[in-house]
Amino acid sequence: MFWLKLVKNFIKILREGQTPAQIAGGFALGSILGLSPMLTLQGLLVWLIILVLDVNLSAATFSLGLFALIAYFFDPIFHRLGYFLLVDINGLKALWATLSNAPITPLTRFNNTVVMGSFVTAIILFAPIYFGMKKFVVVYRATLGVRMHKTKIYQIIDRSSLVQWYKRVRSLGDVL
Amino acid sequence: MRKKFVSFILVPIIIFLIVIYLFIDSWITSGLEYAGEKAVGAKVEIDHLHVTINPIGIEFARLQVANPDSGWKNLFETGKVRFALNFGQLLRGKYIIETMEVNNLILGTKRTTDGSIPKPKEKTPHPPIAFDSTGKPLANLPPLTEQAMPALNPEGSKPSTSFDLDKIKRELKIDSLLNPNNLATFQRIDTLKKQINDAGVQWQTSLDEIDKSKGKLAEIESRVKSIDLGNIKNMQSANDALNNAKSILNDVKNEKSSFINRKSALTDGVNGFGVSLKSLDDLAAQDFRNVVSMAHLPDVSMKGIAEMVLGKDLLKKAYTYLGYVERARMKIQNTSDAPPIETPKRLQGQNIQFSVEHAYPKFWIKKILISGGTDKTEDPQYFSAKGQILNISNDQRATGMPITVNLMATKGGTTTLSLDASFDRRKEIAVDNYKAQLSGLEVKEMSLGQSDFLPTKVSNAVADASIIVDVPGRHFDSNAKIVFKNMNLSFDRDPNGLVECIVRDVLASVKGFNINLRMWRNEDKFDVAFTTDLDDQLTSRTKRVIGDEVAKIQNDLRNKLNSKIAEKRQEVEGLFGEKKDMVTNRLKEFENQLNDKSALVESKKKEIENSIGQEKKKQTDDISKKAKDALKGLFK
Repeated sequence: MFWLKLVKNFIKILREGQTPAQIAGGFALGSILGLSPMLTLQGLLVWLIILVLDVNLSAATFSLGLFALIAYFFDPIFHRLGYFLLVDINGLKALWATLSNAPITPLTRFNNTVVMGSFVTAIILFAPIYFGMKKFVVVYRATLGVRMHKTKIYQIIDRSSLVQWYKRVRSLGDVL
Repeated sequence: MRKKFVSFILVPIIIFLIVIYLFIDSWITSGLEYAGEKAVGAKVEIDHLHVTINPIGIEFARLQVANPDSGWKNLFETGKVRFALNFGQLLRGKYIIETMEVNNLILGTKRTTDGSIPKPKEKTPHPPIAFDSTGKPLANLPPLTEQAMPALNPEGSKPSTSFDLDKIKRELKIDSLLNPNNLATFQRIDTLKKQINDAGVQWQTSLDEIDKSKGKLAEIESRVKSIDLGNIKNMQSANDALNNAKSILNDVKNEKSSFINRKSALTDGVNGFGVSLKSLDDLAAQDFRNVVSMAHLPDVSMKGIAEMVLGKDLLKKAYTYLGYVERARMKIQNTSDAPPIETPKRLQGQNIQFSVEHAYPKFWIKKILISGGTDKTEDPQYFSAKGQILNISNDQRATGMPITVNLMATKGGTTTLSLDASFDRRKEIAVDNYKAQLSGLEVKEMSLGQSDFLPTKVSNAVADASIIVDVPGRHFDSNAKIVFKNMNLSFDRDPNGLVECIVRDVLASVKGFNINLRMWRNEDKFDVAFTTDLDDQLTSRTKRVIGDEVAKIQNDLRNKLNSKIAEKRQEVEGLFGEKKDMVTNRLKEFENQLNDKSALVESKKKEIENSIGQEKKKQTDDISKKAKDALKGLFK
């Protein structure tokens, strides 16, 4: 049910409300959170950025869920990439040793293979995701959105009792 | 910037902090218990843990660590434990504890619940025991306990020797024991016979080859005879005859050389078999030992009876302690910045530790101060320990300090135990050392003997022990000296047979004894040496009574075996003698002929040389006579 609401909400924000940049920003930042394991310092930092900047929260939450699912399947690849960066590249070892003994940085858990591998992947993908999403929102609003509204799936989701209930709750007072 | 940021952030943060405040104690308790159970392999329980904020630290009222080998006992339990974490290093993700206070440490207490937990399946059936300091195996050796199992399990590994002489005599099946199929000497003799026959054919061929040379000898003889000294009229004919004789002599020498080579090959072959025949004596001696072993005759020297009687419980205990040594060896390792890649659970990853010399490691307890409590709080049933443990860390290369343990424990005011140990992982090869002294230990009950040999119990004895263990790299060496005093023995049943009677008599008269137990491993072999001052007493008493009987049975066996082997041996020796005579006689015959011909040629050569000498003299005389005559005519 949560996912249903999330998808509905996401489709809604693609159509109206915030700017493409806000939506793409939320989506790209959410991808960093989704790809990386929870409970890291950089994770908290990204949450803070999401909350401080006026990016779209629904896009961030949707992206978090989507990329967490992707991360689950790509976990072995992140592990290998992280192991490669942490162990196999001798030139980086001095940097890792310094970071290990610096204050705060160990709390990022950078020495964990999955954290390292997924974070590096997320950083590399951040720009493509941001610009890709921005372009997608623009195109969606211009053409795809109208077609989407006419599809049966959208109609079913839109008329579902849960979404109707959610709409009522939202209308009581949207904190955002 | 979000307008309602403050309220949006603050509320969750406050809720988050409240949740943490409420639950942090139980989370940390669970975390510590989980980590402890993973390390020990048995239940770890912490009571009333409390996190303190200033300074950041933890204290708890009680810690119980169950014994992984005996779930209803604790390895140890403590009273109040308190420690503070270094805040600066905590920000670096490091757990540095300057001093940990542990009160009322008691060893081996009873538990009210079972503390065992299911053992995880071993990933590898034979985890190696020899490690370098980062836990990489030095060699693919099986675990120490597995290697030690046969050596430390007297009932399981050693064939039980019967001491009932009547039974031995009754059950002794000499014909079966002396079955040719069981005797290596018989098999060797059969092999030798075949080899001698095969070699005989070759020798025959070689001798035939030599015989072919007899024609050459006859030709040499006729050539020598053809030289007629009467035909030598002048120097020219004399020199021709001499050259002819020299040529014949060369041919003789060539024949002689060829013969010597062949003779040498034949003689070596024959002598080789002679040596093989002599080695049958050693094989026969080995056969005798095997026969005695198969007959399960007791060793007349009685060496080992004391080990059998005394070793049972001690060796079992030694095996248990060996397990502790092995566990310490495997658990205490340095982290490595290049560990082999693992396959962790999804989303968990593998943590890589980066070691920097003289920097803080990830985890370091610099000092654990242990107090055994006051005399009033000490329970006389258990050991209360005090002392200190220094430098427990996950990377000794970073701290530059080995783990050292210095404990002194007392029980009931009479028994004392001191333990000094160090676990050094600073260099590539891991080195562990232990030194333990135990005195005044009450041995309320200890089993002696074996189920089939004088099962006995020692009660109310007092024991002192001194144990030194060194484990450098793949090697292992331990020496234990144990002294039993004031002991009383109770025998589980009446003695069975002579030897049990003797051993019982000897034991009944002793009130104490010393034991030296050495266990060691060099390269890949584990060994145990067990000595005791009871050995001599037992041996002398036992020898007096059963030594003669056993020796008689052994002599009987030896005579029968020797006569059987001698009979068989005659076959091969007869065959060998026959072949040897054939070779020797024919070689001799040819050698004589060769020598005759050689002498003949030499003699002819000498005659020719004499003739040449005479001819030269005659010519010289003629010349001098002519010269004299010419001079006479000149001076007339």
